[in-house]
Amino acid sequence: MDDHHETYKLWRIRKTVMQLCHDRGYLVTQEELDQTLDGFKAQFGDKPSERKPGRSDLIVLVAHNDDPTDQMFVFFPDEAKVGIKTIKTYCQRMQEENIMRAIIVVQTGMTPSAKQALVEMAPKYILEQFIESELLINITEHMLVPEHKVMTPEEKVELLNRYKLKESQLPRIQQGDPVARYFGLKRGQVVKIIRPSETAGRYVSYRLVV
Amino acid sequence: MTKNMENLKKFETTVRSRVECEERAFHIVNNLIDGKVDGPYLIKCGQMISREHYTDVVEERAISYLCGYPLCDNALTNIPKKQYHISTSTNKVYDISERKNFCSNQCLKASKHFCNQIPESPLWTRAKEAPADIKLLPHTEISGMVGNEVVGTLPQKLLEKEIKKLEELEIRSPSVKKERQPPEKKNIQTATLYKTVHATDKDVRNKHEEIVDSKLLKHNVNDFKDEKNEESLEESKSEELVDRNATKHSFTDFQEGKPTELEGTVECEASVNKDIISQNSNTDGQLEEVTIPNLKGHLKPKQDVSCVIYSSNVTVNLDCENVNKDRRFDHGNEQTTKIDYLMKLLSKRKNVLSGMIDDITVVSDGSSQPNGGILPSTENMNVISSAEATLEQTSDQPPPVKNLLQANGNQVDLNQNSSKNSSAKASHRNLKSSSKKKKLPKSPLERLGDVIKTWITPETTAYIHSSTGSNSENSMSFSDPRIQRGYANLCQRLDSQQKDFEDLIDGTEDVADKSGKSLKSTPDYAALKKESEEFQLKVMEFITGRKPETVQKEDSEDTDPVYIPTVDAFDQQQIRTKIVLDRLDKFLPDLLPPLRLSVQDVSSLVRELVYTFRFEKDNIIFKPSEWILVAIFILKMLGKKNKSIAASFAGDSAVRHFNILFKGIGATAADLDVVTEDILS
Repeated sequence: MDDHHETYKLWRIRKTVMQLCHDRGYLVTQEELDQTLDGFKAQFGDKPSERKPGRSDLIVLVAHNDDPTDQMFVFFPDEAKVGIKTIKTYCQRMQEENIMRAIIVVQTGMTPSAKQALVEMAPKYILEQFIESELLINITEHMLVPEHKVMTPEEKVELLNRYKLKESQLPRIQQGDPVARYFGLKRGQVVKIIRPSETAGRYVSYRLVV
Repeated sequence: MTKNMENLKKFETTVRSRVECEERAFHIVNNLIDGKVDGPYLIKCGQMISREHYTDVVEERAISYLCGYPLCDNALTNIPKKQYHISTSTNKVYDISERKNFCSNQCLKASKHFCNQIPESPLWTRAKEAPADIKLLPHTEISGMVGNEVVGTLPQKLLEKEIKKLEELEIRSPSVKKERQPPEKKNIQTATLYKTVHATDKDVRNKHEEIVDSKLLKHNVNDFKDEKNEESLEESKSEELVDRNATKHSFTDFQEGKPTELEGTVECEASVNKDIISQNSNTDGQLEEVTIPNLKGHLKPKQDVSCVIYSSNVTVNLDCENVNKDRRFDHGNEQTTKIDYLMKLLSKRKNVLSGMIDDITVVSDGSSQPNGGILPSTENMNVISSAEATLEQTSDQPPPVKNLLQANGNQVDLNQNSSKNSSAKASHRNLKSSSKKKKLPKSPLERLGDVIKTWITPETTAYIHSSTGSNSENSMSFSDPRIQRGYANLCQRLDSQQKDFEDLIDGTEDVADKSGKSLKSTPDYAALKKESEEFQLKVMEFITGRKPETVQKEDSEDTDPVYIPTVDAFDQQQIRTKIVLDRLDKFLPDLLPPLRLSVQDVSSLVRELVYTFRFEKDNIIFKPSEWILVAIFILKMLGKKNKSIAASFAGDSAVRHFNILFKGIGATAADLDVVTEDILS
């Protein structure tokens, strides 16, 4: 793969990552969201084959809008396939900086044991993994993907009260759903899905993450 | 309620134990990932993990640039990026994605060996089972593999299958094969053996290549570096030697051209290898048990091994010799069968030849002599060339016979020529050769007379009995005056209509009434009118869709039969006549000098006579000597018509000539007369 193509790819991935962070409510400057390819090259370089930039240079640390202590890492490991060792080093770093959330953008995949390691750390440290190819485009901008809004716990309670529902009576969405992964949804959260309708103009539905 | 709770608890404990097992396996995987472990620990771990866990370990180690085999802590360097390795020496493609996780082929093999021994049962049921007996592959294992062979690139296997099929076929019909085509069978065998030899050679070479390769990459630094390394290297070398020896032997065998039972050698070679391997493993076991091998203890097994190798080498040699002897014996057998086969062929050919000889009625000793001469020579010939030679000879056989035939004809010719000079010697020879001819039940004269009789038509007799003067008229004579008239008319018309063929066709319908008139090239008004009417009729027919009732009348349905002249190029009769005349033209000139006649005297007469004959497809074929007799018959017949020819037969030289000629076939001039009379009667 030539440098030009690789640089373009990295730029797209980073852009999508920034949008993802923004959509999750983390503080991302408008400048970062609108970064052009030339801007990316100017900031990081345009020779990925000579580690200019290396993937690990793309690392992102963002803080939440509402709670500045709630921070999130986005790791870009250099290895094509990520093993336990890499996960362990990332965990150490998170522990040092007292950060609970992280996203790992892997090139081709993870070993099964690495995945298991992620699961084992789940309650305390939340690590999500994405493959690079998943982030080349932002799926939420696709015309066939309706608008998803993550509801706060208060909104969820209000909803259940308003319609006199139990949690289990809501339609569901899987945690592994691409959009759910995009928003980093956890079990029990509810998303409000707004889709255009020919008859009603707007059709709103709610889904519980399972 | 309490029971339910108990059940739940039980369930919980089982689930917890299962999860525990999984967790333990996970931790083992974690432990195995880091650095090097020792053999016993790995064996213990093997009881508590599944195969998936182990493959995971291999992968994890490879990711951190460690050799995938937990007993090895070599760093992975120079990892190739390609997925497939194409081995030019074996013509195979290997999937090396697995191989990339290991430092060497040995590690790959050892790792696979270990992985295959890990029990497949679920982790939580292992406690109840007896621990699996896992054995590690000794690290001195010499050969590994590059990777999984990619399916679909196995030409050798396909070939082997085909060969097997062929062999089966052979077994099914052994008698037929043996009798019919032993040389080919042998070829096939040689081919297969050649292949196997080739394959073994390649394997060996591949092994060597791999060894060298790994050496170059410095990847085969094994665990027991200080002591064992030396030994293993030495072993590998000596084994290489053995391999080479074996292949050399097989190759020399092959070159000697005794291509049977080579697989035997190959097998024995393989067994020798196995022996050595087992020996190696034994010594390894010893070394492993004695954890700190001192120098003496170390030296001892080394010697043992070399001893074993030496002895095995010797056995290989012996085996090869045995095989050689066997082969020689086989070879001898095959040769004898081949000779049998050749003898059969020869006898068959002899039969055919003798049949041919009967046909020509010439017994030639010369043709049979080379036949016999083949026998001893084939014995000296080697396999293939002899087969070819026989083939060639069989194909060559007809020409000599033909030559003989021609020679015979020439002889007859010669005799005729020489008889003019009245050479006694020539006549004598002629006599000899033709006396042999006279073994037929019917004399050739009579036979020919019968044939010529079939030619005779009424016209012939009419022609012969007619007067000498009117030749040309009579040649065209027809027995039926009506036909004659019709034919004359037709000829007249043909003369006038030669220009336009289509007009001719139109005109044939009204031969009778318009015979005298010459048709104009331009169609007249009536014809045009008729044509237009016809056309209109056709249009009507097309429009109405049915046939009109008024069918056009054939206005000129004459009662007389129509005579159309034959087209020369396609008339069988014409062609046959031409053939006969051609032949006669060849042989008549030889006959005429003794009769004191010139070609001009007889040629027109002969032509006219032959035109009256009616030939069939099977009664105009003669041998050259017979054609002479035919020519004589024709002259004789003409003698009936033309007195001058008859008189020439009575001439002095003619009588002498024909006497000599007829003596050759055992007949006399009187016989000729009788037969001629018979023909014309």
